Amino acid sequence: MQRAIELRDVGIVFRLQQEREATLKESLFNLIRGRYRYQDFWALRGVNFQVEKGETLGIIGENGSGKTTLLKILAGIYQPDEGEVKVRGMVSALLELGAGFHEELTGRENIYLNGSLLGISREKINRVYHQIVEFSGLERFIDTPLKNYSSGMKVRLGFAIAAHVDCDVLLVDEVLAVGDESFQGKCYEKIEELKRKGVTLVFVSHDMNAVRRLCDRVLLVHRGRLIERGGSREVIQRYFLTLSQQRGIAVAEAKPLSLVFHNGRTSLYLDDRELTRAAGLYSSIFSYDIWHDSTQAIWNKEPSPPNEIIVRGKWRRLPLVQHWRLKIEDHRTIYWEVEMECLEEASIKEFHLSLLLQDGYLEWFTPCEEGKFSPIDPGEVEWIQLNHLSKAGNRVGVKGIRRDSLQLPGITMVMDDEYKRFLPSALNTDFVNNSRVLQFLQVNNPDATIYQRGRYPIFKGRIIIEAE
Amino acid sequence: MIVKIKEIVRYKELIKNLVIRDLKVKYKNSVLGYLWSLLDPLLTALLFIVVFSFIVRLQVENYPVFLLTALLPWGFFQSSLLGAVVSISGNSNLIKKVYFPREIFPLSAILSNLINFCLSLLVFVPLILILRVKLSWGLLWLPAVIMVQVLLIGGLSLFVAHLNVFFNDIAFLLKFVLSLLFYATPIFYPLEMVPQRFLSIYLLNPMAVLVSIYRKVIMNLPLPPLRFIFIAVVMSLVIMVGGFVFFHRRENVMVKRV
Repeated sequence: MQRAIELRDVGIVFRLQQEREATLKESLFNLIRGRYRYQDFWALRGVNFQVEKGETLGIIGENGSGKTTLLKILAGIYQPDEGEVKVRGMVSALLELGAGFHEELTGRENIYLNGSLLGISREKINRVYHQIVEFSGLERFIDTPLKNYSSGMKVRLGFAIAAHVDCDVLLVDEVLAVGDESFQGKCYEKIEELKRKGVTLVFVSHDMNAVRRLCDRVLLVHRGRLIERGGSREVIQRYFLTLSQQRGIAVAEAKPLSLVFHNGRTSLYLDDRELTRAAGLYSSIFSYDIWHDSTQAIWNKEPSPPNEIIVRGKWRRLPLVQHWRLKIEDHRTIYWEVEMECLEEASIKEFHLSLLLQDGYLEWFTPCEEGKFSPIDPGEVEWIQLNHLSKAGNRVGVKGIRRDSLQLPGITMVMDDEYKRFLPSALNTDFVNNSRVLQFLQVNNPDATIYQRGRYPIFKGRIIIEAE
Repeated sequence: MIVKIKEIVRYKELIKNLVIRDLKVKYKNSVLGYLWSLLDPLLTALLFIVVFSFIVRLQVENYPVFLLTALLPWGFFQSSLLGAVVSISGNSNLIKKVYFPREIFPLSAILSNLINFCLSLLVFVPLILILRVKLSWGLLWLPAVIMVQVLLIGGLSLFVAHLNVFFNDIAFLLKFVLSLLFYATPIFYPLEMVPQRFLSIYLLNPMAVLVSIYRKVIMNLPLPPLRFIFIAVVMSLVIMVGGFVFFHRRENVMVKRV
């Protein structure tokens, strides 16, 4: 079988000017002075990959890493300055919504205009015209000028056109993030259908769920280079690791455990498999009658050994900072320390430290109680307390699951003895988070909720993952 | 080059659409619509007629027809170039997001003006009938002259459209050069008024030659010397091929910059 796309040592260079020489005068001036104020910037370099016919390839990476440039090279918009590109077959691209639309013309006229931009004859468009209109769901507006369309309507029309023209290679950039959810679902269905038809797809996205769902293989682009390629799971994980160099993101790793801290939420992985759900490990505070949680704080990373995460987060609406230290102590133990720094006097009624886990877990236990998690009903909006807080203790955990279809290790959260005011608790979340919760909570006496300026130790404890 | 032309032909639907879009947008929200393509040169002609028949009193037979035979091709030349010069820089959004042969933009700017030009030639029908201008078989050469003019405009357009991406001054410069050329072309005065000793330089302006040929085929006025016709035709061809090659060579740099 012939490959649909082949890139060999592809590089493209852009000339960055300090100031754009927009006028002749300036450039003549620079010419006379004998200096050009520009820098060469390699947006992509040494890029090698192939895509088989009918394959779906995802391209991920941070903003400005070169993903879109790569897609533009595939689309033929840019020619590479070095290397070789081969794209076989008819290419249809959806690089930006509304590109090629004309506001003064009606939806119908725009369909033909857009088709012709792809080099498709009127007769061919005629054949799929009704499918395009039907898919976009814009029957009623098709003779309205585009300037009266909402952005969502333009998205629909754009995708409908790109997906219905007969092509061998379809390039899609990020656009599906726009548009309502039901239309997104429709788009994914259409993409699956195109995959079945043997269309080669290249898909750039920040939506990791979409990438995981659609792509057979994923490339990770970082600063103009391909730094990882392979199955979606491994590459996406590597992507999160590269993200960790950014502010508010930190990673600790000591095989088989790894922790990914992301702006107040922490995911826990065992052998590259995520055990947590939603916000994972996080903290919340009840103060002045409102819940504030760590995912709303502004976090900064501090230097730490590779098996540790040290971060500080400034709460947005409260005058306080939390210092977290997360350390993978051994192959089954994670140490978590939380301190609080009050920048001004503050009133705090409750502290919660929670670990959100997969809903695959079925049984919970505390030192003197145990029970089953009830299924979380669709539509449930409350978190449901499962144990009795009066029968406290220093630990709460979930039992491991060992079935052929599902293997989950038991997990226990234990606090250090000096923090007696915390109570262990097991809960079910609402149906959106759909997780099991292990939690330590502290409810302050109504007359002892004021914290003066200063630094307070809040919590020390461990998360123990049951050994095999 | 042949590959490129083939590719452009594949996008004929796009060219058609762009031309139609151009024309539609141009005449949208105007009551008289297409009539403007006739009215515009007529009104300009009227102005010149007032100035040069009544005030300056140029002695030229059939001055309205004389004027229009030059004014219409000149209008075609001028509006095509002014349309083409911004055709790449003004469509940067499209060029950065969709691939197709970029020559199509200047090309469609020229084509929509060509259509306008051909339509405006219809004003001659009543004028020729009213003023009893004697037509000759030379009229059959009209398409050939138009062809040569299209080549000239095409080549120049590719140059200016490309350069305007890098220097916004080109559009301003072009306006100035065009008004200069307007006076250096026998539009409102006859070629005979140009002093003999300047004629060999004057006729190096291909538009001057082309306008004289238009006058020959429509009004049967004398042609300029053959060697100048030859030079003008060769020049147009060279400009076209040169513009094409230049545009193609620099295309990648242009797209990155646009």
